[in-house]
Amino acid sequence: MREDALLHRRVATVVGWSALVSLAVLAVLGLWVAPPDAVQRDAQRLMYLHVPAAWLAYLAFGVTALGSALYLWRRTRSPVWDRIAGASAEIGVVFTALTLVLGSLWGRPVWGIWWAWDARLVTTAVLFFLYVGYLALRRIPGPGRATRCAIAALIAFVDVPIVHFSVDWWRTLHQEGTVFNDELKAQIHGTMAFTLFWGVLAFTLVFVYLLDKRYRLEALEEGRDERELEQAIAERVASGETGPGGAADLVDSGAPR
Amino acid sequence: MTDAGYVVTGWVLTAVVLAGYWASIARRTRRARRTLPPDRTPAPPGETPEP
Repeated sequence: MREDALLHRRVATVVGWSALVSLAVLAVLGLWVAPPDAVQRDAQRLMYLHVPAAWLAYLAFGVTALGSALYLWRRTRSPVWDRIAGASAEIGVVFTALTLVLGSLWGRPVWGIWWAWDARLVTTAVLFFLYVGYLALRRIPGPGRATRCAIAALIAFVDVPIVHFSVDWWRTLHQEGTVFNDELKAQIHGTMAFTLFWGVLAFTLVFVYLLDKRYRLEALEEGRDERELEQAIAERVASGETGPGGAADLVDSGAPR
Repeated sequence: MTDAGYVVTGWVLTAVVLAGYWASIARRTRRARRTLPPDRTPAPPGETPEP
Protein backbone atom coordinates (compact mmCIF):
# COMPACT_ATOMS: atom_id res chain seq x y z
CA MET A 1 0.00 0.00 0.00
CA ARG A 2 1.40 3.42 -0.97
CA GLU A 3 1.31 5.97 1.80
CA ASP A 4 -0.36 8.68 -0.29
CA ALA A 5 -3.35 6.74 -1.66
CA LEU A 6 -5.32 3.67 -0.72
CA LEU A 7 -6.30 2.63 -4.26
CA HIS A 8 -4.47 2.63 -7.56
CA ARG A 9 -5.78 5.51 -9.69
CA ARG A 10 -7.44 3.18 -12.24
CA VAL A 11 -9.08 1.11 -9.48
CA ALA A 12 -10.37 4.32 -7.87
CA THR A 13 -11.83 5.43 -11.22
CA VAL A 14 -13.59 2.07 -11.68
CA VAL A 15 -14.96 2.19 -8.11
CA GLY A 16 -16.14 5.79 -8.63
CA TRP A 17 -18.02 5.00 -11.86
CA SER A 18 -19.43 1.78 -10.34
CA ALA A 19 -20.73 3.80 -7.38
CA LEU A 20 -22.34 6.37 -9.68
CA VAL A 21 -24.01 3.74 -11.88
CA SER A 22 -25.17 1.81 -8.78
CA LEU A 23 -26.76 4.98 -7.37
CA ALA A 24 -28.55 5.63 -10.67
CA VAL A 25 -29.87 2.03 -10.70
CA LEU A 26 -30.91 2.47 -7.05
CA ALA A 27 -32.94 5.55 -7.99
CA VAL A 28 -34.76 3.59 -10.72
CA LEU A 29 -35.39 0.62 -8.41
CA GLY A 30 -36.38 2.71 -5.40
CA LEU A 31 -38.60 5.25 -7.14
CA TRP A 32 -40.25 3.18 -9.88
CA VAL A 33 -39.63 -0.58 -9.72
CA ALA A 34 -40.22 -1.36 -6.01
CA PRO A 35 -43.91 -1.43 -5.08
CA PRO A 36 -45.33 1.10 -2.59
CA ASP A 37 -45.72 -0.11 1.00
CA ALA A 38 -49.18 -1.42 2.00
CA VAL A 39 -49.37 0.93 5.02
CA GLN A 40 -46.91 3.76 4.44
CA ARG A 41 -47.51 4.00 0.67
CA ASP A 42 -44.84 6.01 -1.21
CA ALA A 43 -43.27 7.56 1.92
CA GLN A 44 -41.58 4.18 2.52
CA ARG A 45 -39.36 4.82 -0.55
CA LEU A 46 -37.13 6.88 1.76
CA MET A 47 -36.08 3.57 3.35
CA TYR A 48 -33.83 2.86 0.32
CA LEU A 49 -31.67 5.85 1.31
CA HIS A 50 -32.16 6.03 5.08
CA VAL A 51 -31.07 2.44 5.82
CA PRO A 52 -28.00 2.44 3.48
CA ALA A 53 -26.94 5.84 4.89
CA ALA A 54 -27.15 4.43 8.44
CA TRP A 55 -25.21 1.32 7.31
CA LEU A 56 -22.52 3.54 5.78
CA ALA A 57 -22.22 5.52 9.04
CA TYR A 58 -21.76 2.26 11.01
CA LEU A 59 -19.19 1.07 8.45
CA ALA A 60 -17.28 4.36 8.50
CA PHE A 61 -17.10 4.47 12.30
CA GLY A 62 -16.12 0.78 12.32
CA VAL A 63 -13.21 1.56 9.98
CA THR A 64 -12.27 4.51 12.22
CA ALA A 65 -12.24 2.22 15.27
CA LEU A 66 -10.20 -0.43 13.44
CA GLY A 67 -7.70 2.15 12.16
CA SER A 68 -7.41 3.62 15.65
CA ALA A 69 -6.85 0.21 17.25
CA LEU A 70 -4.18 -0.64 14.68
CA TYR A 71 -2.52 2.73 15.32
CA LEU A 72 -2.48 2.14 19.07
CA TRP A 73 -1.05 -1.37 18.72
CA ARG A 74 2.72 -0.95 18.68
CA ARG A 75 3.32 -3.69 16.09
CA THR A 76 1.12 -2.03 13.48
CA ARG A 77 1.59 1.63 14.46
CA SER A 78 1.76 3.77 11.32
CA PRO A 79 0.48 7.22 10.32
CA VAL A 80 -1.46 5.41 7.58
CA TRP A 81 -3.91 4.05 10.19
CA ASP A 82 -4.34 7.47 11.77
CA ARG A 83 -5.13 8.99 8.36
CA ILE A 84 -7.60 6.20 7.55
CA ALA A 85 -9.32 6.76 10.92
CA GLY A 86 -9.62 10.52 10.36
CA ALA A 87 -10.78 10.19 6.75
CA SER A 88 -13.39 7.57 7.59
CA ALA A 89 -14.73 9.52 10.59
CA GLU A 90 -15.48 12.57 8.44
CA ILE A 91 -17.43 10.42 5.97
CA GLY A 92 -19.27 8.84 8.92
CA VAL A 93 -20.29 12.25 10.26
CA VAL A 94 -21.66 13.34 6.87
CA PHE A 95 -23.72 10.15 6.53
CA THR A 96 -24.93 10.20 10.15
CA ALA A 97 -26.27 13.71 9.51
CA LEU A 98 -27.91 12.45 6.31
CA THR A 99 -29.42 9.50 8.22
CA LEU A 100 -30.94 11.87 10.79
CA VAL A 101 -32.38 14.24 8.18
CA LEU A 102 -33.76 11.42 6.02
CA GLY A 103 -35.27 9.80 9.12
CA SER A 104 -36.92 13.09 10.01
CA LEU A 105 -38.31 13.45 6.46
CA TRP A 106 -39.65 9.88 6.67
CA GLY A 107 -41.03 10.35 10.20
CA ARG A 108 -43.12 13.43 9.35
CA PRO A 109 -45.60 11.69 6.99
CA VAL A 110 -45.55 8.34 8.86
CA TRP A 111 -45.43 9.37 12.55
CA GLY A 112 -46.79 12.89 12.11
CA ILE A 113 -43.70 14.44 13.75
CA TRP A 114 -40.24 15.54 12.63
CA TRP A 115 -38.47 14.43 15.81
CA ALA A 116 -39.15 12.34 18.93
CA TRP A 117 -37.04 11.88 22.05
CA ASP A 118 -36.82 8.23 21.13
CA ALA A 119 -33.89 5.95 22.06
CA ARG A 120 -32.82 5.27 18.45
CA LEU A 121 -33.03 8.92 17.41
CA VAL A 122 -31.30 10.28 20.51
CA THR A 123 -28.45 7.72 20.46
CA THR A 124 -27.91 8.48 16.75
CA ALA A 125 -27.76 12.21 17.49
CA VAL A 126 -25.27 11.48 20.30
CA LEU A 127 -23.21 9.44 17.80
CA PHE A 128 -23.14 12.43 15.44
CA PHE A 129 -21.93 14.82 18.16
CA LEU A 130 -19.36 12.32 19.49
CA TYR A 131 -17.66 12.12 16.09
CA VAL A 132 -17.94 15.88 15.47
CA GLY A 133 -16.00 16.15 18.75
CA TYR A 134 -13.51 13.58 17.48
CA LEU A 135 -12.94 15.63 14.28
CA ALA A 136 -12.45 18.74 16.41
CA LEU A 137 -9.94 16.86 18.56
CA ARG A 138 -7.96 15.93 15.43
CA ARG A 139 -7.44 19.62 14.70
CA ILE A 140 -5.73 20.29 18.04
CA PRO A 141 -1.95 20.03 17.43
CA GLY A 142 0.64 18.82 19.85
CA PRO A 143 2.64 15.74 20.77
CA GLY A 144 0.55 12.59 21.07
CA ARG A 145 -2.27 13.99 18.92
CA ALA A 146 -2.79 10.74 16.98
CA THR A 147 -2.72 8.58 20.13
CA ARG A 148 -5.20 10.88 21.88
CA CYS A 149 -7.52 10.77 18.86
CA ALA A 150 -7.27 6.98 18.52
CA ILE A 151 -8.35 6.53 22.16
CA ALA A 152 -11.23 8.99 21.66
CA ALA A 153 -12.37 7.12 18.52
CA LEU A 154 -12.48 3.81 20.38
CA ILE A 155 -14.51 5.38 23.21
CA ALA A 156 -16.94 6.99 20.72
CA PHE A 157 -17.41 3.65 18.93
CA VAL A 158 -19.11 2.25 22.05
CA ASP A 159 -22.20 4.19 20.94
CA VAL A 160 -22.51 2.27 17.63
CA PRO A 161 -23.86 -1.01 19.14
CA ILE A 162 -26.01 1.07 21.52
CA VAL A 163 -27.60 2.79 18.47
CA HIS A 164 -28.11 -0.53 16.71
CA PHE A 165 -29.64 -2.41 19.65
CA SER A 166 -31.56 0.57 21.08
CA VAL A 167 -34.76 -0.64 19.36
CA ASP A 168 -34.43 -4.01 21.15
CA TRP A 169 -33.32 -2.68 24.53
CA TRP A 170 -35.95 0.05 24.92
CA ARG A 171 -39.54 0.60 23.80
CA THR A 172 -39.16 2.94 20.88
CA LEU A 173 -41.25 4.71 18.27
CA HIS A 174 -38.68 3.61 15.72
CA GLN A 175 -39.45 0.19 14.28
CA GLU A 176 -37.37 -2.89 15.11
CA GLY A 177 -35.06 -4.52 12.58
CA THR A 178 -36.88 -5.40 9.37
CA VAL A 179 -34.06 -7.49 7.91
CA PHE A 180 -31.65 -8.14 10.79
CA ASN A 181 -34.32 -9.30 13.22
CA ASP A 182 -34.21 -12.27 15.60
CA GLU A 183 -35.06 -14.78 12.83
CA LEU A 184 -32.82 -13.03 10.26
CA LYS A 185 -35.80 -13.14 7.93
CA ALA A 186 -36.54 -10.07 5.81
CA GLN A 187 -40.17 -9.15 6.50
CA ILE A 188 -40.60 -7.24 3.25
CA HIS A 189 -41.52 -7.91 -0.37
CA GLY A 190 -38.77 -9.54 -2.47
CA THR A 191 -38.33 -6.52 -4.76
CA MET A 192 -38.17 -4.22 -1.73
CA ALA A 193 -35.52 -6.44 -0.11
CA PHE A 194 -33.49 -6.53 -3.35
CA THR A 195 -33.67 -2.72 -3.69
CA LEU A 196 -32.60 -2.31 -0.08
CA PHE A 197 -29.59 -4.62 -0.52
CA TRP A 198 -28.74 -2.83 -3.77
CA GLY A 199 -28.78 0.45 -1.85
CA VAL A 200 -26.40 -0.98 0.76
CA LEU A 201 -24.07 -2.15 -2.04
CA ALA A 202 -24.20 1.24 -3.81
CA PHE A 203 -23.48 3.16 -0.60
CA THR A 204 -20.61 0.80 0.24
CA LEU A 205 -19.04 1.58 -3.16
CA VAL A 206 -19.55 5.30 -2.44
CA PHE A 207 -17.76 4.82 0.89
CA VAL A 208 -14.76 3.06 -0.68
CA TYR A 209 -14.46 5.80 -3.32
CA LEU A 210 -14.81 8.68 -0.83
CA LEU A 211 -12.42 7.06 1.66
CA ASP A 212 -9.69 6.90 -0.98
CA LYS A 213 -10.27 10.54 -1.99
CA ARG A 214 -10.40 11.73 1.62
CA TYR A 215 -7.28 9.73 2.53
CA ARG A 216 -5.30 11.42 -0.29
CA LEU A 217 -6.44 14.80 1.08
CA GLU A 218 -5.38 13.82 4.61
CA ALA A 219 -1.89 12.89 3.33
CA LEU A 220 -1.58 16.17 1.40
CA GLU A 221 -2.66 18.23 4.42
CA GLU A 222 -0.08 16.48 6.57
CA GLY A 223 2.61 17.40 4.02
CA ARG A 224 1.40 21.01 4.02
CA ASP A 225 1.47 21.17 7.83
CA GLU A 226 5.01 19.76 7.92
CA ARG A 227 6.12 22.37 5.39
CA GLU A 228 4.54 25.19 7.38
CA LEU A 229 6.28 23.91 10.51
CA GLU A 230 9.64 23.79 8.73
CA GLN A 231 9.12 27.34 7.42
CA ALA A 232 8.17 28.61 10.89
CA ILE A 233 11.30 26.99 12.41
CA ALA A 234 13.53 28.38 9.65
CA GLU A 235 12.11 31.89 10.18
CA ARG A 236 12.68 31.75 13.95
CA VAL A 237 16.20 30.36 13.55
CA ALA A 238 16.96 33.12 11.05
CA SER A 239 15.66 35.78 13.46
CA GLY A 240 17.82 34.29 16.26
CA GLU A 241 14.99 33.41 18.66
CA THR A 242 16.23 30.82 21.12
CA GLY A 243 14.31 31.58 24.33
CA PRO A 244 10.81 30.44 25.39
CA GLY A 245 8.57 30.26 22.32
CA GLY A 246 11.61 29.94 20.09
CA ALA A 247 12.41 27.38 17.39
CA ALA A 248 12.99 24.50 19.83
CA ASP A 249 9.54 25.01 21.39
CA LEU A 250 7.93 24.97 17.95
CA VAL A 251 9.40 21.54 17.26
CA ASP A 252 8.24 20.20 20.65
CA SER A 253 4.67 21.42 20.24
CA GLY A 254 4.30 20.07 16.73
CA ALA A 255 2.73 23.42 15.79
CA PRO A 256 1.39 24.86 13.61
CA ARG A 257 -1.40 22.75 12.12
CA MET B 1 -46.64 18.26 1.66
CA THR B 2 -47.64 14.97 0.01
CA ASP B 3 -45.79 11.66 0.50
CA ALA B 4 -44.22 12.16 -2.93
CA GLY B 5 -42.96 15.57 -1.81
CA TYR B 6 -41.11 14.09 1.19
CA VAL B 7 -39.67 11.31 -1.01
CA VAL B 8 -38.46 13.69 -3.73
CA THR B 9 -36.99 16.03 -1.09
CA GLY B 10 -35.10 13.11 0.48
CA TRP B 11 -33.69 11.83 -2.80
CA VAL B 12 -32.71 15.30 -4.05
CA LEU B 13 -31.14 16.12 -0.67
CA THR B 14 -29.08 12.91 -0.78
CA ALA B 15 -27.86 13.72 -4.30
CA VAL B 16 -26.91 17.25 -3.23
CA VAL B 17 -25.08 16.02 -0.09
CA LEU B 18 -23.13 13.37 -2.04
CA ALA B 19 -22.19 15.77 -4.86
CA GLY B 20 -21.41 18.58 -2.40
CA TYR B 21 -19.18 16.43 -0.22
CA TRP B 22 -17.32 15.07 -3.26
CA ALA B 23 -16.83 18.65 -4.55
CA SER B 24 -15.64 19.77 -1.10
CA ILE B 25 -12.97 17.04 -1.02
CA ALA B 26 -11.88 17.90 -4.59
CA ARG B 27 -11.65 21.62 -3.73
CA ARG B 28 -9.65 21.01 -0.53
CA THR B 29 -7.35 18.61 -2.41
CA ARG B 30 -6.64 21.22 -5.11
CA ARG B 31 -5.94 23.84 -2.43
CA ALA B 32 -3.59 21.51 -0.52
CA ARG B 33 -1.72 20.62 -3.74
CA ARG B 34 -1.21 24.31 -4.54
CA THR B 35 0.48 24.93 -1.17
CA LEU B 36 2.98 22.08 -1.63
CA PRO B 37 6.09 22.51 -3.77
CA PRO B 38 6.36 19.96 -6.64
CA ASP B 39 8.95 17.83 -4.80
CA ARG B 40 6.58 17.42 -1.80
CA THR B 41 3.44 16.61 -3.78
CA PRO B 42 2.81 12.85 -3.63
CA ALA B 43 2.90 11.28 -7.08
CA PRO B 44 -0.50 9.98 -8.14
CA PRO B 45 -0.57 6.19 -7.78
CA GLY B 46 0.29 4.34 -10.94
CA GLU B 47 2.68 7.07 -12.05
CA THR B 48 6.36 6.39 -11.47
CA PRO B 49 8.13 9.46 -10.10
CA GLU B 50 10.97 10.71 -12.28
CA PRO B 51 14.45 9.82 -10.97
